[in-house]
Amino acid sequence: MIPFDFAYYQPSSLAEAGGLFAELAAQGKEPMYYAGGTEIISFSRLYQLFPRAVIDIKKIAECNMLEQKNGKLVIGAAKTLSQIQESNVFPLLSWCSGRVADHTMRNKITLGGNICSRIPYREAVLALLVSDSEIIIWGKQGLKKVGLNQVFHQTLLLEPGEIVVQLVIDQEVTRVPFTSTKQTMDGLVHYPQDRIGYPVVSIAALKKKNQINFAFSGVCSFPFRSTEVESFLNNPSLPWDEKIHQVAEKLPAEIINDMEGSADYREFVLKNMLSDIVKRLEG
Amino acid sequence: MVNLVKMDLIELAVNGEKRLVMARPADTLLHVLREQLGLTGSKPSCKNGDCGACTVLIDGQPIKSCLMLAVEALGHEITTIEGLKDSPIQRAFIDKFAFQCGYCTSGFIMNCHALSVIHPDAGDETIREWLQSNLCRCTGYEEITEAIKSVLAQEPKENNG
Ligand SMILES: Cc1cc2nc3c(=O)[nH]c(=O)nc-3n(C[C@H](O)[C@H](O)[C@H](O)COP(=O)(O)OP(=O)(O)OC[C@H]3O[C@@H](n4cnc5c(N)ncnc54)[C@H](O)[C@@H]3O)c2cc1C
Ligand code: FES
Ligand code: FES
Repeated sequence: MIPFDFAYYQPSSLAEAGGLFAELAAQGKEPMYYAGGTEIISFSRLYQLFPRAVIDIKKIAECNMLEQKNGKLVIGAAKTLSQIQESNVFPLLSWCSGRVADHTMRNKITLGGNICSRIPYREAVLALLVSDSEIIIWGKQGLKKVGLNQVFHQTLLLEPGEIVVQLVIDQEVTRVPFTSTKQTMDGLVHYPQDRIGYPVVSIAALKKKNQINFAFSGVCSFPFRSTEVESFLNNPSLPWDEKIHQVAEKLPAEIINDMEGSADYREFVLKNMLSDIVKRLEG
Repeated sequence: MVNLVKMDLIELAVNGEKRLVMARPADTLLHVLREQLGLTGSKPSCKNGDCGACTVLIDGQPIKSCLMLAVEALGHEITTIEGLKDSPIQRAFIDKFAFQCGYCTSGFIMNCHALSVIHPDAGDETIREWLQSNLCRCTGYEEITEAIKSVLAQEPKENNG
């Protein structure tokens, strides 16, 4: 049971949602956009979040789109991970989304919710980072479209009141070779039916014009795609074994060290997974 | 636009009936089903989305009712274990000894029932993926898998793929 009260609003347009947010924020209600609501409910129950108002975005048409148009794939932020997985319009995203939580949870968790989550893993983001996806955000100035890699640094950089509306992916990228692996405390996860759990390490990789794009979760306390790591790993003058051996020195932050996996263990898993990924993509 | 700014009456469609309940906007569906409607078949356990004991169907899809607000269910068809009567999966759970203490059972049955309706031709991988949403501390899951397989085997198949 959530031990405090909040008000619930279900607007049907972006402007209405943004207007409500501004009004409620001015009243000191600390409003939150509400999509699947699974994180808001579970954190509120534990008194780790205290919104006085939630604004449900699920009835906003733009947030519910899933369409392929003019060479682009457009996915609304309120689409659930199950809907995305089942549509299989972008197989790498299906893989990454299909390993978040469990099947029933994925009927509720949304893509936008996973991207904006405060937990460190946010695995669906990996597919979007490596594919150079664009993100459409609604704010006071209206809609803007930006590269996700420009606005995702450890976390998605949103101004108060901004709404993630859609993700836009170049359809060409949905057809290039890719691979993705996740290891949990219990073992390797290749397919959704394998195992569930937060990742010890989760990697998505995609090969585009002889270069492999990599994104990581479970390694540092945030998901990332790093230019430094990527240009080092793609340096043709060094052999793969050597690059993988040295990869830990290039990471953007310390490796997580907790009860689900020590830093040493995570580094070991990271290197093994990278070797495996390179074998799969480089043959 | 549906707004619920304070505790108020809302009308939910539960097991084919319209039911009026007094709900706070912050009340979970699980809480309202149990405490307002006396539908105690949906079980509270982790309340964190991990165990699946609270699983109900929303428009036929399994959802963990501990992580859904009651107000979110407005305009949707809710089915709880009390809404299933003599379904093949209930019979199969008895025939295959698919429960011991029974605490997890209603959640498993709701999930398995949805699976048999949505994917009557489900193969081993789909069964495994769906069943991972629920935890059982008593059985070894084998009997539960046998129960769902026995139901799927009875379903008329359009596509065996
Ligand atoms: C049982 C369980 C298991 C999990 N396992 C995994 C896992 O294995 N891997 C993993 O990566 N994650 C996992 N998660 C975490 C989950 O992916 C996140 O908590 C996610 O935020 C839930 O999405 P939601 O749609 O329910 O979010 P909500 O609770 O609706 O929102 C979460 C946050 O995002 C914001 N938000 C949501 N949508 C938008 C939007 N369109 N625009 C702006 N802000 C928005 C909200 O304001 C809030 O701050 C798990 C969660 C649970 C409950
Ligand atoms: S009580 Fe809802 S998933 Fe455990
Ligand atoms: S039968 Fe006891 S928890 Fe499943």
